[in-house]
Amino acid sequence: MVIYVQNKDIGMLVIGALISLIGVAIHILEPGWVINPIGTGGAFVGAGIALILISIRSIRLQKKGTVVEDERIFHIAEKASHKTLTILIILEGVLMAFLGVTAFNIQAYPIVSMLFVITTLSYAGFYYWYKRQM
Amino acid sequence: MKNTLKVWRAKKDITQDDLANEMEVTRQTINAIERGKYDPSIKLAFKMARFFECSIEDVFLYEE
Repeated sequence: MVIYVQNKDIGMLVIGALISLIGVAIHILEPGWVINPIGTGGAFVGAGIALILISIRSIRLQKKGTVVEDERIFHIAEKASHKTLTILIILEGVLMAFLGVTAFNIQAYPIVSMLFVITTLSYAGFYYWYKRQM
Repeated sequence: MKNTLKVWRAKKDITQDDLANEMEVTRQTINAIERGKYDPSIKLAFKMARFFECSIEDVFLYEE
């Protein structure tokens, strides 16, 4: 079990490093098929660094023998996910209706970025709200 | 759901951290259960009762 968890974390570390490298490569090489190399590269590097930091934290806590996840944490995550999903479904429904009615020609990239930010903030917010409640 | 976890823990003279390690949960979970903020799963409740060598009803009390 311990070996499996450590392998999983090492795998996440490697994937994080690869994603970061891809981000740096996109930023430096600026391939023609990428519309926004700075934004795309930054997103890849951010995701890679986040993955690396999560893996390092997990490995450090495992070495100390600290329990990182338990049923309460899963319960909190479940509730936060449910609330986030509800908000996103409502928001996307309203957005679809708005775009359908007004026939607005909005670019996909800013809309997807906005939805990404809302998803992240909503989940983090609800997670900490429920963590304080429970 | 009310509980007497704090009393049982005091009887055994163990800290929240010790109990958390025994139950394989975080210390925050033990704290939340003691404060009545979180109701444990049946599995965890059984595990606690077994640890304190008593029945579940001795530790947890369900109230309508």
